[in-house]
Amino acid sequence: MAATDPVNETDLDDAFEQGAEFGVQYLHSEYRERVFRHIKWVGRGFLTEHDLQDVYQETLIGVLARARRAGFEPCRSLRMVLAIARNKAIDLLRQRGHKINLDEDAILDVVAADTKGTDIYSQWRLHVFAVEQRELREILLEFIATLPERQRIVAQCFIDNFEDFRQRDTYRPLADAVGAITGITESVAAVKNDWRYARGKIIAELQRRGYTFIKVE
Amino acid sequence: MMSGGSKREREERALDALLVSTLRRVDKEDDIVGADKLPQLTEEEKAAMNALPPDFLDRIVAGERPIARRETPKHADHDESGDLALAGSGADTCLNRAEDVDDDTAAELERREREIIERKAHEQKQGGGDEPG
Repeated sequence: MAATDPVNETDLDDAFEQGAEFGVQYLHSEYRERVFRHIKWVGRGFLTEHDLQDVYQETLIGVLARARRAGFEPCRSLRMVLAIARNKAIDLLRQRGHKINLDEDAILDVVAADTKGTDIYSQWRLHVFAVEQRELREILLEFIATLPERQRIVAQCFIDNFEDFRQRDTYRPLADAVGAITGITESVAAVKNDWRYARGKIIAELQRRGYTFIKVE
Repeated sequence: MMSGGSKREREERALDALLVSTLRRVDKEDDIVGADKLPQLTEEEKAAMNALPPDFLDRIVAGERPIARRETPKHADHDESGDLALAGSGADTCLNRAEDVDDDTAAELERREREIIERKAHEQKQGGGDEPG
């Protein structure tokens, strides 16, 4: 287990050892808030209170089904629960029009082309070490979740659809992605504007957190 | 790919790429983010967590879904009264946008407003939107 949390999962493993129903009962009794918070985190600020309940319910159903399967061996049960919770939260976001794209490989070429020879890339390489990437990512995710809803939607679509509009040299796919969530036809200009503001706030927050080299001049 | 442009534009694109690259990087530890890193629940979220019905678990075990999935309408469905808040100029963003709405955006907003008004008028004309036989 990752050394990020002092939770001792063996109690949950032991509960599942006694049976699927008892394991879920124990999970519900002892880990409910942890699972809710995890769902909230995965939900990127897009899930309502009711959504949290809904995803939590789907998580318990998924966990129960898994634990009832023949040959189920309770091992790292909390990890299994949180993975299921994550998938259920992403399922719901996708049903709402979010793309949720976590494929980093797909953007390698675009990132290489966009950063080549730039000052910001030189500074980034100097200041952001591999170990800090994770911390930076957490700061970004946390901050984006606090943006006003409109900017949050645009920022998230920007992240999830990056390769589409960068490679095609047009922001139309970004506007379409935003429109898939808002349900209205979005203009390229309005969406670009919203991203610009969101990015400005992100830069300000990163500078406040000590990443002072992150700026566009 | 997008290329060229002023130095500032190139730097902006590079920063975009670096931010997206950071956010798209998912490692295997992501499923087990430490509790200290997870966001706290708001009072409303805690209330929702504690408001699960007493027989919640029994019904789950019995194969039911005690919580009915509430289909969230898309944003445009909340209000199509012509208020352009849904086009990104809501209370949270209007101050920002007012600072720098370029001509294209202004024209687009105007066009969209006309579309909404026309659609509204059309719907009213159809008398509730019943499809003709």
